[in-house]
Amino acid sequence: MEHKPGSENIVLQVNHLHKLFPISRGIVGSLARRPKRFVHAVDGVSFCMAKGEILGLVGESGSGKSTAALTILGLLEPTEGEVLFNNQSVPELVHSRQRLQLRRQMQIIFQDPYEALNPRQTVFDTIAEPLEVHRLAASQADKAERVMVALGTAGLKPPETFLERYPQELSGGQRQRLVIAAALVLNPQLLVADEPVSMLDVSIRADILNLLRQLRDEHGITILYITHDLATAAHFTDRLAVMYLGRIVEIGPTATVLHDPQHPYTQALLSVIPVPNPRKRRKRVILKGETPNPIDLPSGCRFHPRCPVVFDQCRHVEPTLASVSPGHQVACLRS
Amino acid sequence: MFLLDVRNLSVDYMTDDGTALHAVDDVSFTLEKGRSLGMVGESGCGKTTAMLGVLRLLPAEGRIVRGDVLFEGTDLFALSENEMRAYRWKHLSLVFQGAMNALNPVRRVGDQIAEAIRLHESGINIKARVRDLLQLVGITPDMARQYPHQYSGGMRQRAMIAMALACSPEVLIADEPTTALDVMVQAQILELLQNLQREFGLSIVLVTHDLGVVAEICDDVLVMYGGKVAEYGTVDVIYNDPQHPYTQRLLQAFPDVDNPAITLTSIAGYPPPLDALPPGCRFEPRCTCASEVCATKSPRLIQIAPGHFVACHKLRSTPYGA
Repeated sequence: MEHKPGSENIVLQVNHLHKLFPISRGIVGSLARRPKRFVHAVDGVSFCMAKGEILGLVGESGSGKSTAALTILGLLEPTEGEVLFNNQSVPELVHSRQRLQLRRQMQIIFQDPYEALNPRQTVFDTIAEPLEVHRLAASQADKAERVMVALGTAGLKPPETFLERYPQELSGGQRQRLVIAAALVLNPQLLVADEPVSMLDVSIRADILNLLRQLRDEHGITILYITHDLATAAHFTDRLAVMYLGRIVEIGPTATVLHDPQHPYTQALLSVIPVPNPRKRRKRVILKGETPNPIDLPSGCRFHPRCPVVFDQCRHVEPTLASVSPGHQVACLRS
Repeated sequence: MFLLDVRNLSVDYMTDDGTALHAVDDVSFTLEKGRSLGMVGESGCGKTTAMLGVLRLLPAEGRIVRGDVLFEGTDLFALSENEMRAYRWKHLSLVFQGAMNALNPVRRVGDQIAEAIRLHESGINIKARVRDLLQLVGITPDMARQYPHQYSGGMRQRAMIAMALACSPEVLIADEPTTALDVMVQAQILELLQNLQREFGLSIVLVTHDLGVVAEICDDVLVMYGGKVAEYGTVDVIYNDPQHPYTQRLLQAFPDVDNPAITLTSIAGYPPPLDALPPGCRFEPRCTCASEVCATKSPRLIQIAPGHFVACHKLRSTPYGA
């Protein structure tokens, strides 16, 4: 799954992306000329996505996965590095006349379908609004037609029974489908799904994930799936990228990463995922402590203070992603 | 005699117009010393209400309409409020859902734990006890002087568990103790609970929607649906030989990182709202193998093998029958 930059197939290319947030020093700090400090939310992330691919960006809270997503979408300005969408720079597009077009092609679904919807807008208005903003409907009839198609594709069937309803009349799963329909109506190429099922009951999560996969299969939509949940990512993605403290520590085809994890962090993370089978209780590698804050990053490998197989060199040398097998890259001095 | 024996517990919520909503209906289970029970089900299936009922901590609208709760043979529902207060904390303790956000932000964590001890115990060195408790849950005792905001989410959850253990209870009821925590922190908390169980013979009731967590640490499982027990048995039976269609479907919807190739299937439809419970089996509207009787008659919980109980019309009781 090695993708060559510049190839026709590449939808998204992220190169050495950094996003730093300055920390307020306060008046005393500024007067005393204390050095500026930064939260290194995203600290050198590179990857690319082929058309119609589902990539899982997996990490614990504070790993920078959501910041990475917002920067990729052009909702945050990168501190350093580039984001290319169809070979065009996203930060530049955002400031150009093509901004609206970019927004149409990249859509995001957020975690909380209760917060993402306007409670005073009917289902019809919720989906029609993006069409109006982007002036995509040729006529009222065309608008209605597009809304119905989007509802049907998102699995809200029969669509006409939903049009006049309000979000509070929908269940959690139906709300998330509505959010997806509002993103779909614009025919985006790239869909970023930031924890799209973590607020939903387990019994209906599979439906939403299967719907997203169906969008990929039938409409060729490229999906960046952002989650802390390796188990759903295992079922749903083609490739996995594991993030730790602002950086990708391992990336590769999902099956390879799951069966042959090379980074000690990935190995630990996989070992602690509860498996719904009491006969398969495994030896868990439980890391001590929690992810350190991304302000004062550890020297050398940023994982070394918690690494169960740390050796001397790890404290001084920062590993970079290197190939261990086709398409499988790991940032660890041991591999 | 069981440590905790809950028999036919039913809880109603009274609405303003005087209707009774049956939140928990005829729930029975037992818990032995040093064992752990997982209560699983979707949101709104009555797991939390059942446990609040056991502890007599229901909100004002809640009514216990039927049932007994025996703790070492003592009927908790027959106790006066003062006697019950003595049972809570000392014998049965609860870590609430979202408890880690319930710490008072302007008081030191150690002082908050000390308060719990002071209210329930006398004649002990409270300061030393706080240090012991913190150590027990894996927090450096010096951190007793810090405030909740200086703790991470995982540490606040540990502090809440320390507080629940303040009076050395025999039973710890933990309501979604790891929801909202990162998977590594979740593993740390589960390991802590298992250690407490092993070292002190603590009995644990784990209320959760996470079938993975239950499979990892529980001995027995109670599957609830629409306020009733759907299936009850040992963890091995529930996961490897589930008989209730709801249990089967729930397991098919749950992702397993070991078997990523399996297609997950959701359960169509939604759990019944309390004000419109189906007349027959509560799962009937969503069940793919429902027959006519399911729509009209609620199935009884029957024993189909020793210790394996199922409430479904398609099953008949065996010679072990209850």
